[in-house]
Amino acid sequence: MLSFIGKRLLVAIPTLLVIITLAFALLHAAPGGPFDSDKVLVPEIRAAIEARYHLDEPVPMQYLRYLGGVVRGDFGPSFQYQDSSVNDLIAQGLPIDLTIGLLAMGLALLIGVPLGVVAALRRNTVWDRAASAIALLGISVPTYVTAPLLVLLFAVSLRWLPAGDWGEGALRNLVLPVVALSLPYVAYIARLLRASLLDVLHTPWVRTARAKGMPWRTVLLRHALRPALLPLVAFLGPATVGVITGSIAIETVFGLPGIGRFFVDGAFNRDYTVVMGVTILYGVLIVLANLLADVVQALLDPRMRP
Amino acid sequence: MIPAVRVLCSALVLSALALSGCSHSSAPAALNVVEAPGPNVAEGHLRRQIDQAPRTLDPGLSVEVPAQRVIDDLFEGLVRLDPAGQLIPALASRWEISADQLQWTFHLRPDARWSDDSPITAHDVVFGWRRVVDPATASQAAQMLAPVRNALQIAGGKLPPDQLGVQALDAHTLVVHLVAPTGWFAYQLTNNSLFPVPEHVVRQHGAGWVKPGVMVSNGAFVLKEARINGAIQLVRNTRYRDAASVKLQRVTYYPVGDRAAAVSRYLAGDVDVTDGFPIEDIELLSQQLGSQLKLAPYLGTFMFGMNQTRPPFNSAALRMALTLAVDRDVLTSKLLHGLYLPAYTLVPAYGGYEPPLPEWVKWTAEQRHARARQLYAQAGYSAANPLQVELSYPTSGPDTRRVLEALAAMWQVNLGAEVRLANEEWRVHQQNRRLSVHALFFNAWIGDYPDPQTFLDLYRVGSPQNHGKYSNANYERLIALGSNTGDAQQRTQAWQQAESQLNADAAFIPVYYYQSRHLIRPWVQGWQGNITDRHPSRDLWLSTQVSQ
Repeated sequence: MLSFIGKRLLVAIPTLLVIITLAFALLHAAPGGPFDSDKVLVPEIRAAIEARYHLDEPVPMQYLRYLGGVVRGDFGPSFQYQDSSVNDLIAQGLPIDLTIGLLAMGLALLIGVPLGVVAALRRNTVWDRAASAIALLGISVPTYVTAPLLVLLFAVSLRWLPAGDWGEGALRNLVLPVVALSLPYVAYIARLLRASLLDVLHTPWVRTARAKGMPWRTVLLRHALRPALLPLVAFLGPATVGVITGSIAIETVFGLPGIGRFFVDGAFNRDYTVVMGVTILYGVLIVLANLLADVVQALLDPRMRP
Repeated sequence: MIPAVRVLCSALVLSALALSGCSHSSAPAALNVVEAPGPNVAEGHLRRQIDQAPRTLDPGLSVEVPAQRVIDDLFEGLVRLDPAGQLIPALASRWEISADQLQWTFHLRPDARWSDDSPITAHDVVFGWRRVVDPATASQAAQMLAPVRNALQIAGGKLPPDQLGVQALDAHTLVVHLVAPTGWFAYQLTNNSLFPVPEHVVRQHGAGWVKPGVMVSNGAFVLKEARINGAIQLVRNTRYRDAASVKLQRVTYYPVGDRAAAVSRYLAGDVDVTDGFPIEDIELLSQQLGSQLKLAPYLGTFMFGMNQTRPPFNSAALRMALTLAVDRDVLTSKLLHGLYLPAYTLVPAYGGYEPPLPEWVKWTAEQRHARARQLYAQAGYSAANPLQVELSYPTSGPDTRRVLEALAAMWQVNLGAEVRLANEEWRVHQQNRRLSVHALFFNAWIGDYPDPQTFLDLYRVGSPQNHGKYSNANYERLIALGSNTGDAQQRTQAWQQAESQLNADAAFIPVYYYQSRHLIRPWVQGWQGNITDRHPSRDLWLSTQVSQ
């Protein structure tokens, strides 16, 4: 298993190098630079600022300089947030995205798994239909709609919770963003689990177990649920990264100081180093999450062990 | 934020407001409009929304409004603006100007201290200014020091920073040498980049000197906590030179980029002051919130630029035709609901300056349109051969798009011109504008200080902002006259004549003057609208005795 993990990590290096190269080339190919603003800089001052950030060098030179920095773990200064380095921005934003993302994923599992199981076991009953309806709603309504609606109801009208702000991670500040972020994942998880559990419930080994008189609860928990979770685990890897990185709408609506906004603002502002830093971070997270999902799958299903 | 998201958020907030209005028709002000002050009011804690996270808290690097809001609370310059926007002494108790107006001598208050109790000296000012123009600092604010001798040469790397025309005669006397008599220089001093910085702290901590726990400042408040894109918390500075007059205990700034979300935060009672609201909400908000909605004239003009070096806009007749065909009153009253004011000149009127209005302002719409059509025909255009041109503008909110569509329609109806809207991503637009790629383009300018010069410089030959390449020898002469005279009256006259020249040449198409807009809870006291839209928290206070 360890050599499997080692090999996968080695393969990740060229993958990341491709990501870095592509992102770097795309960013520098985009017209407009970080210091093109509505207040035009005097040419001498512009030149001095570009020299300070090595933007006056040929692009291949800048690329090599950047790679050198990345190898040393230094993602460079931010052009936009002048008091901070990209490392500072990530160190500050990542814990926030991790907190919101992991809580949302936890909540999604907490609701989605029972919902999926109930829907599968009570197939074609009112329970199943209700669960499917909830799931469909969760998938179809995007978070940038649900989030302001939750704000309107719970913050503006009822005044139970704040309409935004990180509030140093206080529970009352977390509730709305976490709920809004988790809703589509509740839906995905419920639907995925329902489908895979239905498949498993129709397999010969479940029929055999039932025929041998094994109690239904044992059949479900020991023989059916474990294999039914496999597709869910495969989904959870990238989904967890998605929930951590994909909360840009949530960050905007709730004014949360996470990385997603640095990424989007960085792209608009040609903050090359910030966009690169976040791209690399997201790349690493995806590689790691997929690896973790493979390891967990292998633990659940001996056939998948390397 | 993604425009679609913005639209949707606004729509949702609006629909909620509308619904609440309908369901309580007997009490139209039903939704969170009048209410008791929260616990923050008794604690003296003011909560302010700002439009985006400040890019820096370093006065020497500050070039945009959100940073200015916070830095105005943390630091104080030689002079400052009072709540009405008038200049008053601050760190300097008085100053003298030499007869040729090239040398200014400032006398700093000897009792002023940094928040770490070390004295503030003239050396801190000299250090701060040299640092701003030093190319190693890479400050975009460097050009703010342009009136000071050698500033631009230093910023361009041609002279060392110690050649800057500023010196500390002793610990509390500062002498500044200017390039030319600069009547507005005292206003220039209110710019963040000309504030003093604590030399001993900056030298010790480098770029990290602005972090919470490290930053030492001299304003009414000190930095307690700051997160990029998150809340910035300030507490009262007990060592501030005028601490006795500061009434607030704490100030928190919340960066909320989306204006509809900012309104939600306000309605939810999370903030006491907002830095704006979506234009399309103005009618509903003014109905619901009444006097909590504050509008005030702002030192900014929305206009269009035209490239005058090539067809079609090398024709003055055509430029004037487009200018005359715009129905500004209709635009500002109907489409913008009175939020902005119709503009006929480059510089907005403010206390101390009246721009010269062109003659056609007094004409009826029919007279204006008739003259516009005449000029349009004179320029060689007709129904058979209409003007076909692109209007380039940067991606912005739905507000701007609606205004541009209305203008294109006016040109179509009043002249028969076919103006197509061409959207460009913000930085792409800035780059293309800088390179004078566009024929007809979006242009807007917010003055750096209340003096016409900050606007008039835009159309000087060689100005980096002169994207349309306007050039007129008489204009240059008038600007040189205004810049070099020490006589205030003569200067104003020169400015007015220069503006008349711009109007006569139809150098640009003025559309509207901006107004600042805020939502302010009734318990926030001391707020006065002013032309620079600066409202330091030291002049505000909270009162539980609210007159509703």
